[in-house]
Amino acid sequence: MTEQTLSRRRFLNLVGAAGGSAAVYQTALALGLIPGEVHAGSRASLSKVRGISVLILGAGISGLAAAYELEQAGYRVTIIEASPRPGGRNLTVRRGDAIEELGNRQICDFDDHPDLYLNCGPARIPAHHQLLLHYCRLFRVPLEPFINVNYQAYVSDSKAFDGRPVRQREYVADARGFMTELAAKGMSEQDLDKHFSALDEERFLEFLRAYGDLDEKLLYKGSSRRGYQEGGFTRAGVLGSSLDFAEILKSDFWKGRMHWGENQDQSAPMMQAVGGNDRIVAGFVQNIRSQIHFNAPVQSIQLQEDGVEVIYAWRGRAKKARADYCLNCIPFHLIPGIQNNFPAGYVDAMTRVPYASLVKVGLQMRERFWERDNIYGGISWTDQLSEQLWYPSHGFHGQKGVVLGAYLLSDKKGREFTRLSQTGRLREAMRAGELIHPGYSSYVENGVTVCWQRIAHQLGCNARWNEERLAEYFPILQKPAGRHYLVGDQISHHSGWQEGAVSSAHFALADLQERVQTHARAAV
Amino acid sequence: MPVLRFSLLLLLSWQLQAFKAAADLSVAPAGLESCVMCHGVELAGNQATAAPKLTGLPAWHLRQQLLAFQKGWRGLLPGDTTGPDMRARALVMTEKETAAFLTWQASLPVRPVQPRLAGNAEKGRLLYRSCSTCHGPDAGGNKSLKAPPLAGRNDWYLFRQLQYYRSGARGTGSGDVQGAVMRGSLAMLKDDEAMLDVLAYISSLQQD
Repeated sequence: MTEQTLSRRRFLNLVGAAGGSAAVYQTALALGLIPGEVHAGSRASLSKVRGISVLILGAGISGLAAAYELEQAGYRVTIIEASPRPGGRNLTVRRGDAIEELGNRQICDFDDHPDLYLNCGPARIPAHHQLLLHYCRLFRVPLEPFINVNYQAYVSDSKAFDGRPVRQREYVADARGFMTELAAKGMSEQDLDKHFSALDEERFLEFLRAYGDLDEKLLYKGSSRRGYQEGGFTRAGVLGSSLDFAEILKSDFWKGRMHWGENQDQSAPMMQAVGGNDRIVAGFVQNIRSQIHFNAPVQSIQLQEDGVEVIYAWRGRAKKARADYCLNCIPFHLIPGIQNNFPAGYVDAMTRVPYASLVKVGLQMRERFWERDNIYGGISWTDQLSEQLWYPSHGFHGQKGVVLGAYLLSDKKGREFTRLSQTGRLREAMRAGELIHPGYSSYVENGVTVCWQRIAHQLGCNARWNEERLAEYFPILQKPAGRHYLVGDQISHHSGWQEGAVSSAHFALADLQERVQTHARAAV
Repeated sequence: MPVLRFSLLLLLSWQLQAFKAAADLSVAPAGLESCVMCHGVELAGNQATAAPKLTGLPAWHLRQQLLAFQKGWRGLLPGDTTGPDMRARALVMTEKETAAFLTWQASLPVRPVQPRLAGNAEKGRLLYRSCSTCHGPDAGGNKSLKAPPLAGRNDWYLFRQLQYYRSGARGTGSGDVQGAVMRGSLAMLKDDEAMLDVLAYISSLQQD
């Protein structure tokens, strides 16, 4: 390579050395290598090639998306997957399905019914995750609304309201009412000339009145937003008494859960695949021709001058595979346990980012009693170990339903929960449910627990990035080592989301294509 | 016929070669795949999953540790963040699996470990004198005292175990005689620095 023919890729590497990943990204945008959208819609469009081979390690969402795109462009693709099924953490369990937890293998005992399943991994798809949605559209995966926020559902906090569950609509309406009343009182006592004109001040008071549903005197006397205690149809509605603001402050709901649906990735409308989110995996698999070797855990990855050699186990033997390039979505904390000749810094970075200990519990309920309590879909939040209770967004008014009886987002709680026996886990989820719905346990027919830190070939949920780790290790892991690329949601700023997985695959593919074209030009 | 026989022979020798090349690496026997998931290919250890190298350890020690996990001497005490996963697997480990594991483990190549922690090996040499009574002057272990070899072990793993002994996350279980002895011997290693120094010395004893 001469200075005159400095490739865009080489240039990007120089930029990266000087300015880090952000600089690479901005430069790549400027060079037109990445369409101008942070993640959604940044689809690599591959040109046709012949005779170039790619090994894909892991049939998770990123691996499958990469395989599909590479195949379309004429690459020869082989997929090697450690487990007996595709999808990675996109796992839906139905009757008879196995949950491969180390030391606690479970077989799902839900009834054989299309509505009775548990999405053990990704469960909700935001509308702006357009890369993933592109594939859902392409493969005609039917989607339906997923209800993420439901003001009819409860807040259950042992520190507030004497531990009594409170409807979220009461909590939110009263919290806003008290807050805006206080703000309005503050208005009249302060000299606001500096900030507001007389007209602005009037409009601000109107804003407060509307926001908190205050009365003419700017006082909060309750609101129909919190729901009537009785009446409201054939006779006038009667408001119940408002919650004590001091009690509202004692609970932790306002710390984030109260605003849950305002996060970009959590806001309505959200979607799920009809019949279970593994329908997305099935969509990919049906549209991929390449061979997928299942039950084939990778044992060795060796970078070579002009390719990558992989050894995998298959039926008790070591087998070899080789390709010009390799895309790898194996959870990177497992890779230091695989023989390799990677640069030391690359492997070191893989040991520096912990993996989450998220937990989900699915409970089959003999009756959909919550629907008689005005709850159709959505989440009740609890300060107990189990954190959340999800009501199914589908199958309304059916006989039975599978609730997500616990969903632990906190790693500390997740580890604590994981340590419990299977019976202990189910009992703990039921105990928290009882605090929200008295009699809850009596509806439970059977259940499964998914403690990701013990699931075979995963040993964790998403990679736990924080600002410090992102700054120090993300650029190292996002950059290819030789002809080997790490991909997956783990190599994205959206770890734990399928959109992160697909985005990382396309990011790697764009780079791979650039190298292939550079080689082709050099050959000419 | 001779041509066919010759081609068969050629095919066979080619296949044998291909098999030999790939078979340099020893795959986990059926039923023991999960050992590799945490402890790495050929049980060489993985710091990212907090699972130490297991090759080079004597069978009596491995059996003792499986028992310790099953009894709850390890993986059950408060503060042990890494042991519970191993305990869960140990609880369902059958005698047949254990025997198969020990046979396979003994057949694996023992590779040296890379020290990951920094300490003063010279200071550590003095501190190690008291350790050597049980673990041996070369840190090779002592079967009759049930003291495991320390040389060639991952320093990050030993460091964590020392911290567990100090906090009581290990060595305080009811009936854990060896654990109690080890916890009692910790007086010499009063802080992290002393631990790191002694680990640096132990690392220097590793024979390649």
